[in-house]
Amino acid sequence: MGRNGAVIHVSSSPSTNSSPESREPDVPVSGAYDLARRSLLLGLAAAGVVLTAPQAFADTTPSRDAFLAVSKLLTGFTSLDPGLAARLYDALNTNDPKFTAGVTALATLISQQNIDPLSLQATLDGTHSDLAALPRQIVTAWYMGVVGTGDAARCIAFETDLTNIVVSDKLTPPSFCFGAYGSWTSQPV
Amino acid sequence: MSDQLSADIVVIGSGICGLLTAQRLATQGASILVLEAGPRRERGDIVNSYRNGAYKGSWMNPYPPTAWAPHPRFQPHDNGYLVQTGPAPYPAEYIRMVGGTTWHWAAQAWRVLPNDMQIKTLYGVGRDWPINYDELEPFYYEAEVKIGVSGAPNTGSPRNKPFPMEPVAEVWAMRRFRERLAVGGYDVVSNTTARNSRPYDNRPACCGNNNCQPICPIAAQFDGGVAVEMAEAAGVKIMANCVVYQIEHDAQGRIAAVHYYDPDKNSYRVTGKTFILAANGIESPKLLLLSASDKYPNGLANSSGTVGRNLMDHPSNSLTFDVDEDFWLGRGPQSPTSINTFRDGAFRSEHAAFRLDFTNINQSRPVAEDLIKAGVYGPELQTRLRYGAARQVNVKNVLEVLPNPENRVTLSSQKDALGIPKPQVYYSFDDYTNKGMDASRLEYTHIAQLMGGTNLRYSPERAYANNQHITGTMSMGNDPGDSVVDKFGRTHDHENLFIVSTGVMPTAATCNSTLTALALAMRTAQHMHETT
Repeated sequence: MGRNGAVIHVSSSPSTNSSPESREPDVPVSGAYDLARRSLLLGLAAAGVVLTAPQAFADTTPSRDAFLAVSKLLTGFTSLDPGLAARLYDALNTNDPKFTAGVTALATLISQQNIDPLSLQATLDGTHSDLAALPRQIVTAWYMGVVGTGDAARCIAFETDLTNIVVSDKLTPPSFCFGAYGSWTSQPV
Repeated sequence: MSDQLSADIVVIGSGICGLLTAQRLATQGASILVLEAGPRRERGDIVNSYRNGAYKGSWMNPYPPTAWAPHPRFQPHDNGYLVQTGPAPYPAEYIRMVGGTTWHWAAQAWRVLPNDMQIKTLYGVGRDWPINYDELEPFYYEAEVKIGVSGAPNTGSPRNKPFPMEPVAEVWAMRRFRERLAVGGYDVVSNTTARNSRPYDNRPACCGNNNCQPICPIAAQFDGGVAVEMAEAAGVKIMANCVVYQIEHDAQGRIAAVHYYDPDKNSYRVTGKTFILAANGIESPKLLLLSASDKYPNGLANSSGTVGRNLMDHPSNSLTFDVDEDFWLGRGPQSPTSINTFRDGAFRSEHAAFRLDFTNINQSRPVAEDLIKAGVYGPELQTRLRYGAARQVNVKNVLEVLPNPENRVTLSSQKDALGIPKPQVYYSFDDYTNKGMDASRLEYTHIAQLMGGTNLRYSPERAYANNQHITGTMSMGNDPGDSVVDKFGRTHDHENLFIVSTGVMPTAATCNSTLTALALAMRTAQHMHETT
């Protein structure tokens, strides 16, 4: 569970995953940053999100934590695979160098305004257009396993993308065997 | 090297028609060389390309075009290979690769109806075929045995012998369609498919990978990969990456050789006694037009001027809706079931006939895409995704368009990387088609009512999806003045040039064209064996 499973960092300035030494220490911080952090914690807790900092994020930076917290809020999953989270974060960051700053700002905004995920897109479209593309990027990464658009689109996950996970009690991912011949004749229960 | 560049029979194109014609002739003793423009790939590589691809909704995703043998691609954007000039788009998809386009088909292996072959006589529209159903029946059966076809007997196409295999076990959701639509008088039947309902020809029975398109991982359906194995086992030699760009004739009009480029544009000449053009309904007419000479200024086999004309396919409209019980489409094969009662009738003098087809494609991915597009996030995203994956269904038509000489394939002024002109298409729809589409929509509405349908989403009016059943561009006929090949597939103009292709079909009927083209090809091969 990493660091007691309930710590999330939010930085007001962009950070990169290539400089782990720059991550914020687990010590009290002050000012607006502290406020944002506490607010996000409260906001995400109210949304029913359990914050964890899993092992794969041991070298985490604040923006990685923000990504994980926002991912949980947007996907509706209280627990997300840390390895996949790391790969998606890296891909999103590579795809768009501004992603790091964006996801941090999005986390701050959500926590400050306690925005419900169902009203998030309309809120962003209306008043925060600079962040409006981020939720779809993040949810597309998790649910479709795809990062980027057009010729730059890349598949990061398939069998473990959340679309396949959500229906995994009923369906197998396409191209994987459903079962023995004729197993599809029975009523799905 | 010179030995390799000559054969009794030279085949241009390694799709199902070219390869299985070659296989049949090879078992009768001919030496055969097949020239394929595209590369050779293995099944596992294609499966990996699918799984690792970013555009899983596009069946072309695992088949990227090569620089030297490009083919049309429309995701993520049109690659511009198939040049469009008509009022209606014709986004045909095909694969230039060893094995050809049946690498990614739904294995629909239908026979036409007897009346499909004489719609001019019976309904005053389209054109008649130069042969009748009874003449083709034995070759249908030969093709069915060769590729392993399973099906139900009640689809309207007579047969002298039972299917090689029983129908594939009925998908639960399709059973419910059958049971509930019977109340409304609809007869829902199993599709006729080249899909194994038991182990067949050393290939396994289907295990429901639900990935018939773009690639069956286990070869439980016949596809291009299986065709390659069968042809090579019979001694056929297949050469990949050989882009034929000219067919050469002698002074008497007989074909003497073909010329191809390798990917570096080195040119080679291949001689033979007999030549078979099998490069699909677009690339084949392209090559005939490209081979124009002083003697044949309008292209080879084109004294009628009809090469490339009468381009047909099957356009579709559709209805997507939510059914009132949990179906969970995606269990079993992708396209198992249809309604065949609108394929023929007196109405054909007024509007197009059609077959109705129910998808069994896993809906979770398109549902998730729609929800993300709508900005639905959080727990509600999961809830609605499960609902849509369980309830969303789709019914579409496979509709007959009539031959129209203005709908055609020509040579573009644009050229590909080797300097070969790209194919160019002109395509349009007429009232006969549109009226058939309207008739289909009435049936969709009735079907949705019977299924307790909600959230009805009709495809846009007058905008039709394409089905990649390229037909008509090298039509067979008795009159050399209005057809390209005779009733045996021999070109009217060149005694030793034959064509095997969906392109020789004079009309498109209402079913997927592969099995009919293959049956015609078997008949062509029989004729070649007897006469050449």
